[in-house]
Amino acid sequence: MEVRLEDLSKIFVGRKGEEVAAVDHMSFTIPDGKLVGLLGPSGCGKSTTLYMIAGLHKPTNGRIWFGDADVTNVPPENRGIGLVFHNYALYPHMTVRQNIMFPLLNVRPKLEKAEMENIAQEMANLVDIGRLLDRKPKELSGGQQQRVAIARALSKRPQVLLLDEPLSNLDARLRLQTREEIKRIQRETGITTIFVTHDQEEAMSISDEIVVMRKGVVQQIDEPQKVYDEPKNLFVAKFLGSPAINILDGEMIDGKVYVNGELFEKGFKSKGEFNFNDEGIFHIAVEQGYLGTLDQYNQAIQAIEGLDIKKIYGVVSANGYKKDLEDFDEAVGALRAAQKVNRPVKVAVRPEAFSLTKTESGIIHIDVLFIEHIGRDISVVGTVSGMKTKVRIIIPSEYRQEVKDSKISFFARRFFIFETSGERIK
Amino acid sequence: MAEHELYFADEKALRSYKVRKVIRNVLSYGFLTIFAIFMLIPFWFMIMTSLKSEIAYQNEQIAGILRLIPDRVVWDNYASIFGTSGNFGQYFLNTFIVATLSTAFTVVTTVFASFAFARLDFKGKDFIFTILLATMMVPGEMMLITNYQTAMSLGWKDTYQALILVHGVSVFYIFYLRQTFQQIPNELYLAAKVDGYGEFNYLFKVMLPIGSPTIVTIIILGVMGAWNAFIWPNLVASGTNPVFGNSMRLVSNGLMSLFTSEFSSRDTVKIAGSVVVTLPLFIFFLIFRKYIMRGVSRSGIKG
Amino acid sequence: MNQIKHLFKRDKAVVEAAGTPEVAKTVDFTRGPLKIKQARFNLPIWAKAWISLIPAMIFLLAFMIYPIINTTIISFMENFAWQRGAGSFAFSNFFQQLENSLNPDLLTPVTAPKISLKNYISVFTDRDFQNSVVNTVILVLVSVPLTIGISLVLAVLLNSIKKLQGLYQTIFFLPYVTNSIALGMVFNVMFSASDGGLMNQFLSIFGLDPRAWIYAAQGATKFTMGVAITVSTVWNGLAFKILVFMSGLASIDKQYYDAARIDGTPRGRIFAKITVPLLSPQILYITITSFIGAFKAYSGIIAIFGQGATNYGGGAGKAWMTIVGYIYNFRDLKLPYAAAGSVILLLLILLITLVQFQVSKRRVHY
Repeated sequence: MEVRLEDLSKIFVGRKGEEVAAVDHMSFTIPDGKLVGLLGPSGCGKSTTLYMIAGLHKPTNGRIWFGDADVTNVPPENRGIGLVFHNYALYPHMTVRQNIMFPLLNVRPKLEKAEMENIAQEMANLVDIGRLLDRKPKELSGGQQQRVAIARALSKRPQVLLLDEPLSNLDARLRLQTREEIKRIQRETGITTIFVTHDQEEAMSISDEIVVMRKGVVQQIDEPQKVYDEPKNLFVAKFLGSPAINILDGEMIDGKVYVNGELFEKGFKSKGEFNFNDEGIFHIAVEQGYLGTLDQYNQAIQAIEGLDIKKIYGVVSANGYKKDLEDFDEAVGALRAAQKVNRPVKVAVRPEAFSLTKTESGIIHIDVLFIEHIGRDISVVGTVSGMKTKVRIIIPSEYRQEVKDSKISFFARRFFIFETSGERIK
Repeated sequence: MAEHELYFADEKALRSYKVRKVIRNVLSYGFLTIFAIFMLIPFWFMIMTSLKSEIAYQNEQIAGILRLIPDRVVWDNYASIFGTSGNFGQYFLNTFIVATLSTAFTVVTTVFASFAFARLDFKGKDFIFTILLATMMVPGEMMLITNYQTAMSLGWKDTYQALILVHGVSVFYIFYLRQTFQQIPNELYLAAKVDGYGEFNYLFKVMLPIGSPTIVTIIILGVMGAWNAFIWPNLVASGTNPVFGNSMRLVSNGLMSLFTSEFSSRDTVKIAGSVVVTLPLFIFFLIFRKYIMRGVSRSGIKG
Repeated sequence: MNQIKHLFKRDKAVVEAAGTPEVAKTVDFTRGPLKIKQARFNLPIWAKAWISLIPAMIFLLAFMIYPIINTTIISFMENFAWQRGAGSFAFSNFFQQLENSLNPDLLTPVTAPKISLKNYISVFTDRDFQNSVVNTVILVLVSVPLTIGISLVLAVLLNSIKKLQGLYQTIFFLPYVTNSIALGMVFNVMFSASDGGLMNQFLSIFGLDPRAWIYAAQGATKFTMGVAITVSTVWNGLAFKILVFMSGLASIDKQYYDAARIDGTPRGRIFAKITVPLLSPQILYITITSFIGAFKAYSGIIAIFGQGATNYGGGAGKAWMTIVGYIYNFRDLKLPYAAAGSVILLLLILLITLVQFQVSKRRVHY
C-alpha cells in the first residue's frame, strides 16, 4: 500500500505557549512494498511523522493517504497498520503466544481460537521465534523480544508496517543480525515498511529509500547510495558517512576554490560557458526548458540574483512547467557554480575519497598528528597545514609505507562544495 | 557492606581485625537478640498465661514468682471466651463479614479511581487529586462525629453497611495504586490502542494483571485494617443488628467489653481473649509474610 | 517461505468514497481478511473518567470531605442545638435554627445560634484540654525519638548481618499485625501490680521493689502509667519503622561504601556521613508519619487501662487523656467542643508537618 504524505505539519504548543513545529509542511510518497527509512538527528520530527502515519498523533495540517483513501481522520485501529515500538511494549503478564494473538482478539468476524493460534505460530516462524511461544517476555533476550513485537505487529496482516528505532536498544553485534532480519521479513512479506532511526549506517544498509529529515523538514529523499554520493546540502553530507565527512573552510575567488590559500579547484565545468549576465541565464533557462516569455524570464532573474530556488520554482511552475524540483535544483546549482562572486565556501571531502596519487585538483597538505592502523585500512589524522581544522583520511593498508612522514600531501578524488548556508554548489 | 578480599600489612593487623570483627558481631547479634526477646516476650506471655488456670495464676501473682511455663495446661479460659457469656463466635463472624465485604468494596472503588487518575485525562484532574492528597493529612477524628451523625440519620446504626461503606474508600490506596499504574509504560497503552483496545478493555486486560501485586497488598492491608479496627465500630456498632438481631460487635470491641464484663478481674481469661483475637491475623501473617512485608515497605518508600 | 506472501496478497481495498475527508470510519483497509472491529460508539475520554471516578468520589465526598467541612463549621458555632441529631448538615441546620429563633410563634423558644470563637476559647481554657495537650506532647516527645532511634539502630544492624537476617526481620515485624486493643490488654496484665506481675518480676532481677503500674487505686503514679504506655507504644512502633529503614538501606548503592572503605573511613563516620544522609528521605517520611501517628494516640492507651473507651487512668479516669481522647469524650457531651478540638488537632498536625518539611529542606538528600 502506497503511503502519501501531503503537506503534513504537526505543531506542538510548549509550556509557555510557544509553538514548535515538529513537522513542517512535509510531503513525500512511500512507494508500495518498499522499505523506507526516516533518518535524522533527535528532534527532527521523524518519530512524530511515524506516529502521524500510525494515527496516534493528529496532524495539525495536511493529509495522509493510504493508496487512494484519505486516512487522516481514521483511528489507528482501522488503518490496517502494525506498529513496533521503540521499547517493544510487550505485555509482561502474557506469554509470547498471547502477545501475538492479542490484536487478533478484536478481529471481526470473530476468529476461532485454533485459527488465532495458527496465525500466531506462522508469524512466530516468520520472525524465527517459533519455539519460544510459551515464554514470557522477561525470559527473552532483547533481540527475541523485538521479534515478538514484530510478529505481533504483523499478526493482523497490516498493509503498512511501522518501526520506531528498531535497532537502538540492541548491542552492536545484534544490530547487524537484526537489520538483516528486518530486511528479510520485509522482502518475504512484501509489506510497505517505514522505520525511524538516527543511525545513518542502519538506514543506509537496509533501506530501499532514505528520507533525511532535519527540524521537521525533509532534506533529501533517494536511494541510500545516491544520498551518500550526491548529498543535496551540507547537513545531509555531514549526517551520512562514518567516519564523518571532513569539512574545510575555503574561498571561492573568481570561480575558483581555494583552501588555505592554495588552489583546490581550478574551475567549474558546466554545461557551457557562463558569464553571469542576462543572456547567459536566459540561455540556460530556455535550454533547460523553464522559461517562455520575457516576463517570466525577468522574474526569474530577480529570483536568481538572490538565489532563492523556491521562488524561482514558484514562478516557473505557476506557468505550467512541471519539471521536477531536483532537475531545477541541478540547473540552478550549475548557475551557482558558475557565479563568479567571491565568497567563503565549505569544502567537504569524505575520508575515503583521498588518495596519494596526484590529481588535477583537490590537493591538501596535512601535518600528521597520528596514524591508526585499523586492520584493512589506515586512518591518518592530521591538521591542514596552517589551519586548525582536523582532517581524517582513510587509505588502504597497502600504502602504509608512504605515510611515514610528518607532512604528507593528499589528493581529494571526489569532493563537494557547499555554500556556508548549506546549499550544494558542486 | 560489600565483602571483598582484604589484605593486611602483617600478622598483627590481621589478628586485630579479626578480633574487632568478632567483637562487632557479638555486639550486633547481642543487641539484636535483646530486642528480639523484647519483641517476643508479650507473645510468649500471652500464650502461656492463657493456658494457666486462674487459680494457679493468682497464686503465682501473690507469691511473686512468675512461671515461664505453666505447671498444668488448661483450656478453661478459652472455654469461657467462647461460652455463653462470651459472644466471640459472633464477633468473629461479624469481623469476617466486614473484612471481606469492605475489602472487596475498597478494591473495586480504588481500581476505578486510580485508573482514572493514572490513565485518563480530564478537566480538573490535578486539582481534585491535590485536594484528595491534602485530606490524607486530616486526622480521622475530624470526620468521626459527622460520620456518626450521618450514619444515624441514614438509619445505619448497628448495621453492616455502616462498617463497610463509611471507611471503604481510602485516598492512600488510590494514591498507591495510581503510582503503580503510572509505572506501566505508555507504549503498552498505545500498542493496545493500535490493536483496537479501548480504555476499559485496556484496564481489565493489561493494567490489572500488571498491577496485581499492589492490589494484593491493598487487600492484605484492608483485611488487617478491618480486623484491628476499633474506634469507628465501637461508636457505630455496639448493639444489636435491627435486621438480623445479632450483636454487631467486632473483635476489638468484643475484647474491650471483656474488660467490663464478668471477666474483668480474671486476667487469664482476658489474655485468652487477646490470644483469640490475635491468632487469626498471626496465621494470616505467617502465610502471606512476603507479600505483607514487601507491600508495606514499598508503600513507604516514596517519601 | 513463499506461502507467507500469500497471506499478504493484495486484495483490493474496498473504498467507499475515495479522496474526500468524509471517508472517515467506514472504510476497510486491511488487505487480508482481517479487520479490527469498528467501535460503534466511543465515549469521550472525560466521560469514561467520570464514570470511573464517581463511585469513589461519592463516598469520599460523603464521608471525608463533607465531614471535614461540617466539623469545621460546627466548631465555629455557638448555641447550636446539635443534640437534636442536627450535628450533620450543620450548614442548613444552622440557618434553620436561626430562622426558628426569630419565630415568636414556636412553643418552645429557640435560642439564636451565632458564629463565634466561643468554642475554641472554651476548649483552650478547659483544664482537661490543656492536660490532654500536655499528655500528648509528652508522649510524642518521649516515644517518637526513642522509637525512631532504636529502629534505626536495629535496621542498620540487621542490614549488616548475614545469618538469620530473615528470622530477626520476621520477629521484629510481628507486632505490626497485632490488634491494638489486644495488645493493650496484654500490657495491662503484664504490668500488673502484684509481685508476680511480669514487669515486677523483671524489676526484681535488679533487686527493685514491685510496684503498681496502672491502677491509681493500687498506688500507681502518673509516671508509672506513662512508663507502661511508652513501653507499649515503642513495642508497637518498631516494626513498621524497621521495615521502611531496611528497604531504604538496601537501596543505597554499595559503591558508596566501597569508595569510603578505599579511603579508609572509620565506621562511625560512614554511618554519620554516608548512611544517614542517604537514608534521609526515609527518615523524614518516618519522622513525619510517626509524629502524626503519635499525636493521634488513643486506642492503645485506653486498652492499657482497660476501663472502657473513655478511661485514661487515674482517679477521675483522666490522667493520661490525650487530645483525641478529649475529642472522643465530648462527642456526646458537647459536640461543638469536640469539633473545635478536632480542628485544633488538625492545625497542630499541619504545623508540625510544615516545620518538619522546612527542616528537611536542608537535611534531606534525594
